[in-house]
Amino acid sequence: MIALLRPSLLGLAALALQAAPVTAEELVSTIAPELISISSSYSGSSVVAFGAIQADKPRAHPYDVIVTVSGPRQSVVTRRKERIAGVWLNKSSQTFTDIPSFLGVFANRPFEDIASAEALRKHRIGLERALFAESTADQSDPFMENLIKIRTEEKLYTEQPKGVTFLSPTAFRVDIPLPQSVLIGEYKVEFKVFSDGVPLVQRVSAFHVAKVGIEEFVIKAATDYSLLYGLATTMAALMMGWMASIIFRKD
Amino acid sequence: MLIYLPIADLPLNIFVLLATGLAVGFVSGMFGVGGGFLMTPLLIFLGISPGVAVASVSSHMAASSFSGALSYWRRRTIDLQMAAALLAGGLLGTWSGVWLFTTLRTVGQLDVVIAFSYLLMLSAIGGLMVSESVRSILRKRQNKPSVLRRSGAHTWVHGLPFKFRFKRSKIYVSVIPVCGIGYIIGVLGAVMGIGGGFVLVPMLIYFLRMPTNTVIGTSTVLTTATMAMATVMHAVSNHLVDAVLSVILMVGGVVGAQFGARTAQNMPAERLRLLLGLLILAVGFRFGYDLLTRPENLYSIRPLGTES
Repeated sequence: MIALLRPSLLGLAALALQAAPVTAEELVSTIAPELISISSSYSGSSVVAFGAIQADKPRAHPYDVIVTVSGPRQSVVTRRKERIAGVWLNKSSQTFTDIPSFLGVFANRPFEDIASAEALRKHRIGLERALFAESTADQSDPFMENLIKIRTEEKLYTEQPKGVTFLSPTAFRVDIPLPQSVLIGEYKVEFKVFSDGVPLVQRVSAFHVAKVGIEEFVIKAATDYSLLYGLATTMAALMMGWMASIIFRKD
Repeated sequence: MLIYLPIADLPLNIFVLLATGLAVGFVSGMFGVGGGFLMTPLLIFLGISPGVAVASVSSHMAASSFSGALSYWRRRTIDLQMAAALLAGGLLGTWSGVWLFTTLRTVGQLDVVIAFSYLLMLSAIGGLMVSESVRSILRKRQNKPSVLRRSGAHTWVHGLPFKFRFKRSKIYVSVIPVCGIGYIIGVLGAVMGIGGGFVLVPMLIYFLRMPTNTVIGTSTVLTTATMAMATVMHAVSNHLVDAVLSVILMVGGVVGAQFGARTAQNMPAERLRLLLGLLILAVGFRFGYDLLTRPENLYSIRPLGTES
């Protein structure tokens, strides 16, 4: 990990030196690693993002940073079980189209302390605000609430009001934990800098998740070449049966 | 050691999976059954979704029935004509079963239907086996000879048209019930992930009066074909076959079956059947319990494919 971080810190320093004189705040950032490969022994790891705020003159209030990370989008059905004739069955359901498969919201202190409720809603900060704004669900939709609950248990959705650490008054880092079940694809990282409740500057960056090894091969085969995959699995099964009948032959 | 199952989408301990394969293999070798009716439920209890469990176990069942079929072939106890007639119905049944499976999955009722079918089938068959073996154990205690069924007895099945002479089994019977039985096994196999041997064998004996020397060998041919076809069809229409999971189960299952077969030789048949009956009942009750108690989380989510 250390070896990975060093070049990115140097890169950040280089970026900071190059920056032109500013009239207001400017934000530079870097993410390490930019491509994370997940293999079969992977049990979750994290991506680290660094940022530095540059200002021409110091502010009276300290900076606040909110980082929102969103993964590839997918549509999800949420179903609710109800008791029918004594048996628990899936009854009602609701489909949410194009919602992030991963969503992490990180800040240096509780969101409510950083900005007003109105500003938070406007900038869609926080799991619920981001997801309710993106879907047609209204504020008290139990289907969306439970979707958030399930995804939070799976660590795919996370809200960490203390996830951003300031290394100096203007430089910060954030650790973005990724569980094994994350989807492959592009992860958008959105940095927002506030001071005294006022949004100053924002910046969007990204990293990629790729899966390597046998399980990615299996997933790809199962979805893209399903007939071949099915035939191969069956052939393997028949071979195994044949071998067993030879090895354990009794007659 | 955790291994990530790509299609089931969850990490499980590889030794737990191997042990499951071994245990089910042991039981299947001991009782001469395929073991799908135990394997699928155990995987569901381990947290694998019922759909993935059913689809993945079918390839495991293809492996174990094929190894059985080969050894029966060497002993010349397979009635190929009967197997072909059963297969005609069986393949159609598998096709209908996979269609039903896909439809139920789309409307979100697959898990419940799988649990309910298991509850019904396992409690019926387990109940029958337990009562039947308890009766025969009691009969033995009283030193009464067991009643043998007359081999020439005919049922209504023998009045049906399109009769055909199955030479190796030495029976003359209509092909309609034969295809019908094949069809039922095909549907059951595709929806529940069972080879269906423990339903098929009694049906062939009771309805067709098939002799016991060809019945088991012939049934393994049918289950090999229906399970192989179910694997391919589940892979194509539902993408639910987890090859990593299947291979681990197969390794455990194949080894376990050999130990099971050896243990069974030192046990009286009635007691063996009583044990199997109790085991089947226990698994059935577990499904009933899960259906009737309030689930921990009423809500469940399922992605509808990724659009990135």
